[in-house]
Amino acid sequence: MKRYEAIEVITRELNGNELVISANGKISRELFTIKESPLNFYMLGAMGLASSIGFGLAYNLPNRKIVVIDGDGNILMNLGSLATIGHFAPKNLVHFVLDNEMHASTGGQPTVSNTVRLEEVARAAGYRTAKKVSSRDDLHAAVKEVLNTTEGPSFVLVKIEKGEKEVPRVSHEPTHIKSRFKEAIANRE
Amino acid sequence: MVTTKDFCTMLKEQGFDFFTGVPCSILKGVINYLSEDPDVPYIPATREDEAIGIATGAYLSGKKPVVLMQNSGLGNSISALTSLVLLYEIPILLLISWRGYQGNDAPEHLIMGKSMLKLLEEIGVPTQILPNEDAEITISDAVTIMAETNKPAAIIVRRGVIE
Repeated sequence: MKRYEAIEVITRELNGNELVISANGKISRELFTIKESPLNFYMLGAMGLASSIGFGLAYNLPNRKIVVIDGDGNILMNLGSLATIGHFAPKNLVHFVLDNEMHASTGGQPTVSNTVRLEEVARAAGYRTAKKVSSRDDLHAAVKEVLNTTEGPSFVLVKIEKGEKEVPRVSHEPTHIKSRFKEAIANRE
Repeated sequence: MVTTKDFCTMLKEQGFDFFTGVPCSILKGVINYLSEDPDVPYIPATREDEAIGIATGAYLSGKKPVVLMQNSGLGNSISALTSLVLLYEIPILLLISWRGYQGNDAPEHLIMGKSMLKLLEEIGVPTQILPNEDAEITISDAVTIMAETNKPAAIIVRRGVIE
C-alpha cells in the first residue's frame, strides 16, 4: 500500500464532520487531490506541528472528532507532541502516521523509523490505543475502529511503501485555508 | 511595575482565554498564576514551536490564545512563526521574556538578548516592550494590532516589570 491508497482508505470512512489536519508536503497535496474539503487544514510548512494543531483543536472542541494525518519525518521532528497529547489524552483525537521510513517529499532521504517503534512511543506516552498496520484491510479495520471509539487518543502507525503519484500543489491561499476552516467549525458548532 | 495578578486579570479582561508555553524565570509568576487559575487552561508545552502549534489549533477552535516563552525559545519558534502563524495570519499573542537585556546576563542569553527585537522586526511580528507603567495600554494596543492586521503580536517582558 502506498501513501495515496492509505489516504483514500482513511478519508473514505470519514462522515463529513471530522476536522482533518494534514502534514506538510505530499500528505497535504494528496489529501487535497483525494478529498478536498473546507474541514481540511492543509499544512504547507511548519513541519512537525500537525499533531500540535490537532491537539489544540481536540482540547477545545471535545465534541468534535479531530483527525491528524501525519508522516514519520514529521512526528520524529516533534516527538514531544506525543508526550503532551498522551498526558492530556483528549478522547476525540485520532492520529495517523503514514510511515514510509523516509522524507519522501524531499527526495527519499531515510528517517530512523525503520528501527524506532513509534507506536510503542505513543503507547508509553499515554495514547489509549496505539496500533501498527501495513495492509489495506488492516488499515480499513483500524480506521473504522478509531473513528468510532470514544476512548482516544488513538494512534495508528501505517507502514506504507514508497511510491509517488503526480499530484498538484494545494491551490488555495493559506489565509483562505484558515478562514474557511474556522468558519466551517463555527457554522457546525 | 504591575502585579502578576493584575497583569493576568488584564489579559483575561481583554478576552485571552487559552495559555500555553515553556517557562522562564522572568515569567514564572505569570505561569504559576495561570497554571492554578481555574478559569483558563495553561498547557505546558515541550518546546516553544509546539506551543505555537497548540495555540494555532486553539485559535482555529475559536479561542484567543497566548504563548509564553523565554526569548531563547524564539529561536525554536522562527519556522512556526514564518511558515504557519504569519503565513496563515493567525493572530496569537506572544509574551516573550527578555533575557540578555542590556548585555547583562549569563553568556548563553547575550546573543539572543541583543538580536531578539531585530529578529521579530525582520520577520514582521509587531512588537512592544512592556513599560514599567500602564501595562493595560500595551495589552489593548496588542489586541488592536492583532484585530486589524491578523498578525501575531509580541509583548516583551524585562525582569522586574511584572512582580
